[in-house]
Amino acid sequence: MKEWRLLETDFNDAFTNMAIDEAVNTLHDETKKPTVRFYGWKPSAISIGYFQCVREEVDLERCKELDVDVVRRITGGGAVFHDAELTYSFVCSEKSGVVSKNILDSYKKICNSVVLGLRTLKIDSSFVPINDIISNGQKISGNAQTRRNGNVLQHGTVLMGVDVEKMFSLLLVPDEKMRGKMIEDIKQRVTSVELQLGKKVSFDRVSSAMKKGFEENFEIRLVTGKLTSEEKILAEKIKLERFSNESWTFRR
Amino acid sequence: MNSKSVYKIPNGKLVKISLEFNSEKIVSVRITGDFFLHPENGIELIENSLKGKKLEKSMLMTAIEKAIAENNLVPFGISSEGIADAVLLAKGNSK
Repeated sequence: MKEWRLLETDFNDAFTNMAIDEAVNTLHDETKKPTVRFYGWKPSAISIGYFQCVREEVDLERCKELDVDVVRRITGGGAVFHDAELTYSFVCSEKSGVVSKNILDSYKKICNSVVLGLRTLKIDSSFVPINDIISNGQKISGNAQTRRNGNVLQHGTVLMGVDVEKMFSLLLVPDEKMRGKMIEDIKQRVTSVELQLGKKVSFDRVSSAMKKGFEENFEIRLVTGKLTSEEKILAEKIKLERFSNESWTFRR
Repeated sequence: MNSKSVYKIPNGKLVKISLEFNSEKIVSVRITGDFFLHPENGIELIENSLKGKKLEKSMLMTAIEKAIAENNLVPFGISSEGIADAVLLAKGNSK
């Protein structure tokens, strides 16, 4: 059975997290094993999509007050409040044939790892295009993909708990008069591992379930590895030059 | 003149437009939102393709479609029609 690299980098700040994903993707090529990474966010953070306007989406003052990092991703999609969650990232070469050249098909394939992982936790879920996984009609995972340097990078969330009030206290809404209604709407539309099971589940438990999900889905074995020194050095550089740099955060 | 719009593309994502225009022509446009476009830097090619264009739906759509085709861009959650409608909504918001 093929072996892929598993990175368990635990909890890092937003800039480090995004820099590691990009560094792994940048240094990957078809001679290397695909990488699956599981991580969390400390402090809590908001990530915004590549195309979003940070001033229109995020209450920056409030984030500062509450010690919430704000980072722009290199992937599209929407603003995410990373709090009680496990985040995964996946990197493979386009040439490897591990996932389809067709972007939507590849979303479905990679997201199926999360669906299988959730099943291990006894949660039924399914992939809904473009980039969501829903359980009992409510979103439990959001995902985003980019293709650079001939590689596929997809990262996504598995919501372990959800605090919609706190999330909305950090985000701006297009129309303040609609804030209350939007909060109620989102509460109806979002769920979590905790809500689905009626109990809290630890990060490690979710992590091992997701490991199983990826292994089953791709019929491979994930072997715990480490970032190479080259990856570490590049991640540090990308963190400084891109993710923690205001010219990147405020570019849109 | 400067104006903005927020537009939910039918069956797509939310697009926000920041538009600068003179009489009937676009000076510059900024397209933001929670959509996807591969490769990502293609958004600037679409924005640039709209400069100097008349604020008319078919003209805008043609320019966007050309930018997408010439640069092999792959959009998800946005479309040439969705962007054109959002730009025209921004224009309408200036009145």
